[in-house]
Amino acid sequence: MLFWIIAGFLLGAGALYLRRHPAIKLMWFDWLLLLVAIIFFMLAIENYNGSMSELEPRAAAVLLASFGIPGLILTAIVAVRAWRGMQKVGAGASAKA
Amino acid sequence: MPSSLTRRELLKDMGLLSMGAATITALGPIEQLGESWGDKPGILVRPPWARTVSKPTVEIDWEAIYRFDERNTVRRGWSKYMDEEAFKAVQEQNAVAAYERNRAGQPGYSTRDIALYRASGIGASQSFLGPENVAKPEENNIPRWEGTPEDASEMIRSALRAFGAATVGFVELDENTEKLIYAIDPDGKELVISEDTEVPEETETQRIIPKSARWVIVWTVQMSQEGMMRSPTPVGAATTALTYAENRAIQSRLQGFLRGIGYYGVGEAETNALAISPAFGVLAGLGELSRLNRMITPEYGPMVRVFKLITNLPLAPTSPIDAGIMNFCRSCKTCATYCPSGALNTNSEPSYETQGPWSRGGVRTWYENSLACRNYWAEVGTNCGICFAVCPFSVKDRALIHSMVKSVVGTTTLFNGALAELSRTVYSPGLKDQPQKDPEEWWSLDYSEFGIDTRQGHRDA
Ligand code: SF4
Ligand code: SF4
Repeated sequence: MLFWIIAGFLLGAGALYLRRHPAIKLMWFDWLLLLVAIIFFMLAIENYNGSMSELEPRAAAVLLASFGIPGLILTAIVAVRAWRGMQKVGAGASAKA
Repeated sequence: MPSSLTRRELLKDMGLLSMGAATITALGPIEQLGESWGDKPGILVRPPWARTVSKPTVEIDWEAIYRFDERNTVRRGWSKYMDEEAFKAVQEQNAVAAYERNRAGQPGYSTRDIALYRASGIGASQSFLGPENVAKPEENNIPRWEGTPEDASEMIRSALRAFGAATVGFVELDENTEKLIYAIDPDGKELVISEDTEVPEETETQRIIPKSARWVIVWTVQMSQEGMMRSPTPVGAATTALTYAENRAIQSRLQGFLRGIGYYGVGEAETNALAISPAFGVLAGLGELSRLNRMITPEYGPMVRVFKLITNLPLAPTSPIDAGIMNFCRSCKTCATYCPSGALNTNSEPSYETQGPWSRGGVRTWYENSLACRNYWAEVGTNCGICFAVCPFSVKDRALIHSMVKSVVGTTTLFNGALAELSRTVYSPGLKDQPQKDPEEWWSLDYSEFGIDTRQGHRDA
């Protein structure tokens, strides 16, 4: 339980950072993708831990990859979109200067 | 970040932060989803995907059912189904196989493995009438316990749990279900259901069950998945031996308890005596019949032994269940694929056709070739259990994926084939006639008591 409370605070802090960073502009669907990615990550961690405690390392690895990889892909999509947005903001700023 | 934050913004941000924490905390321990179980009749608490139904998922032709002679099963009547020479040969093989494998250095057959197996079967004795060392209420001038059948069922469930049982259910006997009591016990004594007596009796030739004893208590005792995954070896077989030994004590304790509250319970005079346990288990909703022609439970899969006792204490029956298990078996077939003797049925649909006179028939199931199975045991010098070990329902339920999959299986048959394939890929990578896990590794595990997780399958654990 403590693990999930700490994870929750860290994610809340992460969301706060993304929301308040002046150069990062996320659209509503970016937030949606991030939420889905978080669910995938949680499933990956939960099933990895659960399977390891079941003494099933093979299942743990398969489940970690099955849930973790889609989570990573979704996060990467949002990160690339945010990075492109930052580039645009940067380019706009230098053009003004 | 803005250099100055208004009070309103701060509150908003704090809200976001705590919302994140609250959401993850609520979603986080998602393993608990599988434990938010419904308390159906208050007696048999089940996972949400196990729906109670009025009839078991297996079709039964009660007209074709008759009281079977237990000695016709391959368990007891092995020699009946082979010619004398062949039987002598397999018996000789049976007697030496484990020691030959020991001498050949086969993993799982070391001296300590064989000793573990033999020692695991040591335990209490059991009998039809049970021990008499608990005083009846009248002996101490105290009243006998009285209550509603629902109270009685709840009380028996709690007592049995304390004695070591896992799940507990109840069946009320009628003219049909009575036929699931054997006609003849394994030792040749006739089981008589009599209207002429109010107390059970045992004579030289008969065991007499009063007709007024109308209730069957049926329960499971968990086996160890980690142990069974080492089948077919003595270290794998030790879990079966241990569970039977454990139950001899559990049955005697239950008989003592019933006596102590002013009733009685008649039990197995020896292992597998009295009545057909999986049949009563299915009727009581402890599980569903499967391709193994054994009961599979939603909580532990096939990793249980099933036991029963007949009592005159009026009990509230529990209902059969549909958790999608029998339907899943239609597409799965993993057990039949991995069975080294080819004993298990590979047809997609169950049928009324038996594979030999060791099965009574009357149930639309997947009848097995028990003789092929028993002969394979003789070949390896111990019992087998590969079919139990590879079954997708034989999981420890710690990872959320199991609850997710079981919920899907309990709801729709659409994904059964794909899920069975997935399970084979992830959990059963071993060879067909080999243990799924290293038997030697078993000795270095930090094993739990009896190798089971006593929290598994219980809401209030
Ligand atoms: S115990 Fe072994 S031989 Fe018998 S049915 Fe199961 S897998 Fe086959
Ligand atoms: S292995 Fe598959 S077919 Fe066999 S009993 Fe288990 S679920 Fe049914």
